[in-house]
Amino acid sequence: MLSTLSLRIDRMEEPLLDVQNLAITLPSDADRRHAVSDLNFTLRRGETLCVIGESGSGKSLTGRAILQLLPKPHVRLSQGRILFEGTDLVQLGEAGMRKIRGNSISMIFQEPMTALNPVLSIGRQIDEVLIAHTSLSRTERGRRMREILAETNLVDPDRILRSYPHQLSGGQRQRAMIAMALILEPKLIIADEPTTALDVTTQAQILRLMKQIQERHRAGLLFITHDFGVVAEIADRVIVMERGRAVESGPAKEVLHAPSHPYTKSLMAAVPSLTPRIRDGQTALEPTTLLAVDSLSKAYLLPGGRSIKAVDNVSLRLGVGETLGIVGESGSGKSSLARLLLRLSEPDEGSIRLDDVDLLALNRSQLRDKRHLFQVVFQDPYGSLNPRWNVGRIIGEGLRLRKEPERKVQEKSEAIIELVGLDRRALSRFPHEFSGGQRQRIAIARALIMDPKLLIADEAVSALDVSIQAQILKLLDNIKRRLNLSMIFITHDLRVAANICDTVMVMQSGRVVEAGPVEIIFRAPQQEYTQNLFAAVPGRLETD
Amino acid sequence: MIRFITRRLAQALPTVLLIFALSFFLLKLAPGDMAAVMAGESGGGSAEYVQNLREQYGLERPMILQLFSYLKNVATLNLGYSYRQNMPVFDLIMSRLGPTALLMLTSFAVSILAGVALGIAAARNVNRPVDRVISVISTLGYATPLFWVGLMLILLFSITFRQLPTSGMENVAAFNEGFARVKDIAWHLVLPVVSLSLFYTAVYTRLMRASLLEQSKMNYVVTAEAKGLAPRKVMYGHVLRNALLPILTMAGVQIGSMLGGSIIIESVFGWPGMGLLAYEALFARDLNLLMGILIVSSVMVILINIAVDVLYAVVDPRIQLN
Repeated sequence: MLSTLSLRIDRMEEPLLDVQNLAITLPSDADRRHAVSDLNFTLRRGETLCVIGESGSGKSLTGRAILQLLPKPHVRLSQGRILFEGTDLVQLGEAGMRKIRGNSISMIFQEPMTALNPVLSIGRQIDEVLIAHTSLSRTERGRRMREILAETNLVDPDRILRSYPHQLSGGQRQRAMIAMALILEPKLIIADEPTTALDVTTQAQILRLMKQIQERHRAGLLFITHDFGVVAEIADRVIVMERGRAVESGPAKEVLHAPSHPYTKSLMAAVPSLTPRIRDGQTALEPTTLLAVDSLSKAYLLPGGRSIKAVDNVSLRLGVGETLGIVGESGSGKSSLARLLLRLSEPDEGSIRLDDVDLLALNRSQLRDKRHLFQVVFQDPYGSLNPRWNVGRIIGEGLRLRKEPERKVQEKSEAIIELVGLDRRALSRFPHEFSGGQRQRIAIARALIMDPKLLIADEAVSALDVSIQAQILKLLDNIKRRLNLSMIFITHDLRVAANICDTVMVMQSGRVVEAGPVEIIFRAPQQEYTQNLFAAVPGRLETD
Repeated sequence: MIRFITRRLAQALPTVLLIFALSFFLLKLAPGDMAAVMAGESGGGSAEYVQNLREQYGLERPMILQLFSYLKNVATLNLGYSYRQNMPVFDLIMSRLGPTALLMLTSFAVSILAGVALGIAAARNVNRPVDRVISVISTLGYATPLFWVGLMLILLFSITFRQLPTSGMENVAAFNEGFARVKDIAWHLVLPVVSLSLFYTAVYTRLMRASLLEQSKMNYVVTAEAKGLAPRKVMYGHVLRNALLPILTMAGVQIGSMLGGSIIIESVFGWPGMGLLAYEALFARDLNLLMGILIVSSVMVILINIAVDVLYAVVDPRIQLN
């Protein structure tokens, strides 16, 4: 009796997706032969399986391999079976796959801005799915599209359908993308980092929406991510991937609370905690003020004659050796403020005093003499280094512009490149020869060689994997101490802010919502906006 | 849209005035003025005769005054009189504008269509024999001078095979009318259009191939494939439209140089257009006529550029005209 019952359950729970011995081969000039090897997993109806790993782990290629959409012609599926409802997709062939793509298996991508065609309206892009897979009439298709957009909580579906991707916000674009993926009620949804490009509050909404829709349609969800917080929010089961292999898998609760593989442990340890860490050597003494900003404002003119206050009456104080975190969502004015502080754009009102020098009163040549005092590290370690210059030239440029003797430039470059943890031979190599984390070290070296008193880091660790991010944060903290440097750390990631800042300033639409010591703001935020921001951080564990 | 066009027209006005002034002074710099030419044409004259002519035509006045009176005339569409051709310059240009426009627009359309088609063929067969053959042909088209292509085509198709006419726009002696005339003109168009569009076709082919290959790496292409669209739909519905944008930019820039190219082609093929007229005017030192042609051409280039900008906004919704 008992055995027949369990047999029936087994049959009902026949996996929707069964991946066996999957291997994906990379082109011969890649750093390794297989992007993915010996990968096995199953996914049931109504289940969410998270594939987590850092860049280069093969997680995205796994997702694309299921749809037989590996980048042609160099990346190939070289071994294995992908059974979807018992059919091997590897053997199915192009015509058969086309019937499945977008129909019974659909995919949601990371960056909705680039994943949508910029010159076609949202309506047309969703309509294509219906035209390709159904024979519905035009009015019927319109009705279906409005329905699905309403289901993804998009207000005014008619306007959305007429809009082009650039006319929507990031959250709206991702909802439209989800609508496009769900319109034919697929049995399997593959989501490749669908919330990584979004603000935390938007991310929380999208995750909730995906969970709801998945449960309503009892679809299987394969969710690819690098973020343990997101895994904690959404996963039933987890696979941890490292360099193409599954190093650990199991129910989400078990993996998150008692990881068994050292790689999983190290990844989780690298995730910064939301609890501000206790800083040693903190003195009760008020440090001397390095930077004093008063009532700074900047408005930009929008097309159509309206203007927007990007920075609205912002004042702040930063002491010598202190780190101030500026946090907020996209469009909150964080980066505009940084540009004003760097004097890359001119404020409409207000004052900036650095080391008791009124920066706004300086003329161009005086400003040039002072520029070395405040340096910047940008977010994108790929875009911010000149690809045609070797590292020595990039790092030494600032000193050479100041006509420093060549021997001194050499000596200082070598010292600084070792300070940021790279070998001095790095100086003769070019940016593309380095990984993202190494490039960010180069960018930091380029800033530090000028002996700045203030370092502004604009989302300097946001593009990096958690383990690399942890290294860079540690490096910045060490350097800051050794050089008694003041730092302004601009980030959208509250965990990062908790890890590195002494004081925090929360911004929303150009204004300061609240500011104060990091312990106080993080433990007891006073403003509703800040509270919502904290509530939206995914995967808050008890330790947070 | 209307507001954009009027604004662009208003902005073009200073540009046009500057072109007028520059070409006016440039032509005045050339040795020998109109009086000297006229005296020469009438079989020579005494120094007094030339002097008389100069005073009569106001050539003794300061240059800046001459420029102003010229501009005043241009504003009323009076481009002066061609003493060489015994006709008002404006009428003369208008009678030649049609043939030039026909030659240019046909070549323009042919080069874009052929370039886009060849570019697609090359990109879809990247690094395969088709791609290599197209690449070799486009390099040849790129590197061969216009006049040489024209002469060789005449040699081959008109003289050796005796299939196509060597010169002119139509067979005037045949007194064709209606469709027969259209056919005759089309027949005459073949060689000039092929010679003029060859270079531009080569440019657009290479540009289109590169642009398509770049666009096919974009994320939205994977999205389109993940929807279950057939490769043809992905190519023509998604990639092509994005890949066309650089072609359009390039075409807007090159329309001016195509006008320059048509001078050579018109002289080679005896095409009765503005290019041939300019060529004749240059050698006859018919400065009034030359100025007139410069003015009309620059206005044409500016108008076409505005049209290209409008077209750009139609193809790319991210571009806002206002």
